[in-house]
Amino acid sequence: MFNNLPVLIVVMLLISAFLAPLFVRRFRRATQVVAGVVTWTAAGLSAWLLARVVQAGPIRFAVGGWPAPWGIEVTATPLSAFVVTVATVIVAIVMLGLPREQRDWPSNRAGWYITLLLLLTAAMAGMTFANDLFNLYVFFEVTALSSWGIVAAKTDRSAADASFKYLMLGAIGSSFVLFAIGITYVVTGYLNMSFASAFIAAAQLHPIIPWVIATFFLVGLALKAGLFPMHIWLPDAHSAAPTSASALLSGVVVKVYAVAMAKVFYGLFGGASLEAMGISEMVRLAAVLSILAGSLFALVQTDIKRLLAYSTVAQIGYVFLGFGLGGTVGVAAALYHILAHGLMKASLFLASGKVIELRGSRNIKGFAGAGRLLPLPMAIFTLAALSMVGLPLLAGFTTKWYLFNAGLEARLYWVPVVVILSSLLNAAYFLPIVWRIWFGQGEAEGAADRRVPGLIPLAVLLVAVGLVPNPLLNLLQQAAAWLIS
Amino acid sequence: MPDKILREITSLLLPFIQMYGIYVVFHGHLSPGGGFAGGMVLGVSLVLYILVFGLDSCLRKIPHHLSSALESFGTLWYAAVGFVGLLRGASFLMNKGAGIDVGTPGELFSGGLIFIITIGVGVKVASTMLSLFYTLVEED
Amino acid sequence: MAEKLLHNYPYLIAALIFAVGCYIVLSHTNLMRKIIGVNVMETAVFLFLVAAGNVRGGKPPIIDLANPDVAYVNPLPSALILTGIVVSVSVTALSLALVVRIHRQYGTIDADEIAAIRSAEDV
Repeated sequence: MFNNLPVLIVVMLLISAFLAPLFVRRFRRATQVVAGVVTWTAAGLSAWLLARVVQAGPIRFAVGGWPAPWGIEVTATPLSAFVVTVATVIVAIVMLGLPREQRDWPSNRAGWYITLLLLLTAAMAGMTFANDLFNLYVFFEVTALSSWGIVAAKTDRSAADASFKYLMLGAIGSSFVLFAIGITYVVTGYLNMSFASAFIAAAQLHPIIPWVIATFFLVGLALKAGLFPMHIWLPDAHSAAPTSASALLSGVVVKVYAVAMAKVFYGLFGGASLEAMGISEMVRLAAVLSILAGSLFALVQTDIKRLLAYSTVAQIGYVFLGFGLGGTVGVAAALYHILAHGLMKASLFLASGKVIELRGSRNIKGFAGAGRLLPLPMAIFTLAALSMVGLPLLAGFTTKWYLFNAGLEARLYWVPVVVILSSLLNAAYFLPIVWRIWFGQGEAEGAADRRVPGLIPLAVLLVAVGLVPNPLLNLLQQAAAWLIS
Repeated sequence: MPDKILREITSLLLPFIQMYGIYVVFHGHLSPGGGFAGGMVLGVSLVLYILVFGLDSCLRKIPHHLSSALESFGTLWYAAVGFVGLLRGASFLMNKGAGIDVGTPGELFSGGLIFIITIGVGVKVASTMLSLFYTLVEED
Repeated sequence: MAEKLLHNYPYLIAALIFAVGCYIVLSHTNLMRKIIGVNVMETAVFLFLVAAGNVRGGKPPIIDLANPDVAYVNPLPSALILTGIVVSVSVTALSLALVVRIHRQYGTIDADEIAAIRSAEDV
């Protein structure tokens, strides 16, 4: 029974996803509540799974009773259990805001939106648990389809345009990934990552073959994750989506692709041969470009949602940098940042959604004087922004500190420089907004509804992981050790 | 409005097309095809019906919300069948290993749960084709 | 070397079609053509996998109980491609629905014209 847990989490979310459109017409409120309860249950189950997996070692589960090289294998390692826990918790928190967000939506659209959110969560969980490359691809596509759907959920025309752009580039990315999976299958004869990796390690392959596989995977997954030269869809898509969707897309979805990359790369090739093939270096280079370019683009934005989206491009760079550095410290930093950035970016999007609602415009000028009207959301915005900048005692600082150390450990002395430079850039675009919020002269009028459900849990978690990072980091180092070995 | 010949021939052919679709769904565990291919044939037959007899006459027979509901039903059916293995003490989607009689290979009622699950897939695919067509054609 | 390439010509063609599809998506401004380009790319991958699963002179993999010792074509790639086709159909359907919406809202399906409309709006 316990071995079924990874599959059950996915199936539970899938079932509720398809139940939602059946009931939303009559019982909208109940559907929203049930969707929330299901997501919280999934979060609870994955947390329990994480606890068990850390104690008792990873779970390997053959779906339908067909053993590994033939059947689909699902594995719950500390890494995947952690990522699924983070994803479900953030989705569950963001979903608390659904009843308010969907107040004016027609029931048809509200229903499908809930379906897509649950489907997205299920697919992310499935993608993280999958140990079979083709299963990974299927969930990969379901994730992509549902994220295209939620981007298009708004009716204004920029949404359709942004979603289409996202879709085209995403489809190119999927084709690359499928090609890479195809080559892996043709070369090794296995789709199961453990078996394929054993084959690659034992067979004397021409060095170009693993390199081609890895490059195809890298291009495809970096396209989906919005790493720098392939980020062009991201600001449009993440800014055109409804607030909750932006929070999830920026906060969770792009990172799951990064985790998929880490799983595939370490699962198929292992850290040493990644370094030997130069793939790690490629990842690090793309990550650094992403960190710097994302922040530079964010500097010149006047639209808050676009600014936050560009900042996501920079922050996804941190995750890739951590994975690219390898070693337990680097990978642990990447995993920690997945949680920290998820919390930060979700709070930033939810809080600025409030300001956009208040001012009716996405321009950052709207933040002037917002602190007096919306004290609590703006306080949390400030907290998250300062954490982004990397103020000590906040979560963002811990990531930077660990990346700093991982860079020194790997004798890559430019890494600390990049980290510091990026902190300065982050400060350059976040601090003016924070200044505006509290000291700017803006309209102090406006009937503001101050409640933003979900913002307080996010802030509490953010402070908690920032103040007491050590238990979490110990766990993550264990997870990283599992990934690397 | 399409001409009389087209309508007559279509109304003659449709039952056979749909029969073939159902045949393919039911023989999924015995021959090439199965839920996806058969469901596709069924769905395309409905699209053909719309193209010849007009959107409204199909909407009267299968309203959009019904086809959406059938879509959900197909998926839920699949998941529900998956739980049979779990309920019998084996794991999710388990068939023979969960002690289900798989019958004699080659007969129509064999393959245990595969036969049952294929029906859900067929319903899902057929209704999805129809819903997709509705979504693309309808003015909302 | 050349002989090997000739022997494995399906792979070569698949790579070529893949590149062609990628070029179509990136170079055309008409949204419908972009969708076609994506489909071409996906078809290239399907060709690659089918070619990999093919056994020359192999029979379709349907078990014939009377005559079990026949060389079958590898069925796994075909099963994968069936799944791939389902995915590609859903992607195509979603993108077509989006094109319908874009056409309704912008009055054009040309990416350049849409970009022009959007930049005019921003000013």
